[in-house]
Amino acid sequence: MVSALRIGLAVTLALFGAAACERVPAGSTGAQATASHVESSKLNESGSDTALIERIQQAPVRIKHGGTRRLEFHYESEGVEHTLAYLEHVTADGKGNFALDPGQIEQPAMSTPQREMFELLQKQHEGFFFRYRDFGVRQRNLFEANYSVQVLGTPIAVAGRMCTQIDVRRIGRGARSTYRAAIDDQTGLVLRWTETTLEGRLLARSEFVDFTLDPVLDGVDWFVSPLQVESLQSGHDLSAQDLATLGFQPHSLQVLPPGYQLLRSERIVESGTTWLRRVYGDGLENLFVLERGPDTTPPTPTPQHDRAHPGAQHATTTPGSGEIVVRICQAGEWTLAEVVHGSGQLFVIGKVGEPDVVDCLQSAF
Amino acid sequence: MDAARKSPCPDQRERLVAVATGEAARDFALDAHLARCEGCSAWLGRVELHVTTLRELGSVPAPRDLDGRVVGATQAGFRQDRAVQALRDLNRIAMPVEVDLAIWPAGKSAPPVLDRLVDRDLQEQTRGIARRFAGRIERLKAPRSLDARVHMAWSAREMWTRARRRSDWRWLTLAAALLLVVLSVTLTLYVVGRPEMKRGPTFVIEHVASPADLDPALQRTFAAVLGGAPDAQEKPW
Repeated sequence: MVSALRIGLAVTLALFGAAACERVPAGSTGAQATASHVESSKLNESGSDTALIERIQQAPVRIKHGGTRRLEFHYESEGVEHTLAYLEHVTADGKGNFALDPGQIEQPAMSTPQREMFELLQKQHEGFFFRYRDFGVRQRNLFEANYSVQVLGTPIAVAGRMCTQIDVRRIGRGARSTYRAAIDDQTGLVLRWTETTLEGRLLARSEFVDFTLDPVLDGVDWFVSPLQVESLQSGHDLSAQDLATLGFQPHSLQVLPPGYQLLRSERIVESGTTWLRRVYGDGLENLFVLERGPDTTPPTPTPQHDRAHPGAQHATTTPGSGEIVVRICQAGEWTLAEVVHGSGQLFVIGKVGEPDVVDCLQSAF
Repeated sequence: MDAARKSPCPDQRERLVAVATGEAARDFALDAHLARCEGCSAWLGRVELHVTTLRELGSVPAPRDLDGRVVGATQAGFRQDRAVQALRDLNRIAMPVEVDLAIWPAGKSAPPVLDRLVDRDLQEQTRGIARRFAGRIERLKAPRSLDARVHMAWSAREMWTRARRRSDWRWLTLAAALLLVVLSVTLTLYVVGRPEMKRGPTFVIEHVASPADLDPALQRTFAAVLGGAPDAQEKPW
């Protein structure tokens, strides 16, 4: 059963998981932030604030390292609190290659088939995890513009290494959670981070339980994207060449949540379907906008659970009446929205409020 | 002390000088004083000698250049003032009747035209001068080309002036009419085209309780941002 599911899921899951990563440091393209208010003076006691933020941004791909970390995620759905806790093995060669391999699952309890399926899914998310899941600086200028960073006084040791602790908070309205991170003094790597709600409830946590700057690289199964992913150089308004390769006219958000800017546009081809993935960010959090153009391939059998999607028949537009139906789900700090327009689809997911998501969508049509 | 060197009495000094120069005559009292005062008597003798000697000196005129230099150094600019002042101090002298009659025969006054001309020149001095001197300019005939140019320029200016006077109201009327036409067309286009203007679609928001009710592709993205947590829950394994 697991083998059969592997084949079916390998293609469909890869779109938003494995294909997520091009070997480009996060925040290396896109936004031109207009930094206006940074509480950077608090960082001066540990050196240059800009240097520290820059090190945090670049360390994951520039520092050769390896180790095992424990991750813990909490989210609420339909009034039920869910928790996932597991170990993960990390290897990076400092030259852009990396590998994330799932380890022991602590919670919830799973059977062997469940664990194997879960490990497969985790591996399919490998690229996405490395780029977008963890606390990190995606774009330095935006980060400095939107977040205040406070260095806590007492250094701590994580995995036997001395770290500086920082508290990171969103400036102004739009704050939905806060972060505390332990930054390795030598490398700038984030060895531990926690995310909590403004009320103090734990949302996520990651911590290296063992760490080395000299990992064994022989035999490492480096991440390779199985999908065709092409980074689009043009920005908000795609060039004629990009539009030609994309094959459809995408909807562009004219209104963005406060502090967000376009960071990356990518064209992804999966099973004959072309997707445009736009990643917006405020320097730390991301807003993902995925759009699929008209399907040009003959219908192919879809996985069982795809056909069972209960909302598929509802998320439609009725062009004649000029109405667009937006299906929105609030899951913890996250807001998910889907729109089906004609034969295309548009998804939005981000750690922003529902009004911001609706404003974004309305500005795109 | 030698009597000749004795000083005169101070109260007699001025009188003795006056007697020596001849300005005063000697009298009995002075003679009595001189008889008993050797100082005054000797001093009077010396003064009379000096006066006689000075009166016997000849008059020698100063060199001409010295006179000029002295006057130039000490009185430069004052001579004119003095001359002016002297003129001012002169009493006005009425013109003798004979002279007046010689100019204007008795019983006749200046002709009115003269009065008018004088008055005009006094009131308009610049024009009066120009008029008098212009009359002395020789009149020359302008070249034909210059005459033609002046005539053409004058004619064009005259025509423009006349045309402008006539067409001011016409232009205003035309501009107002054009404005009305433009406004009417704009209003018509707006009213006619309004129903065809693109209007944004109406958004209908449907709230979904669980991410599991959303598109699978969106579910997978959600699972990814949550570290795979949704993948570990509620799956039909």
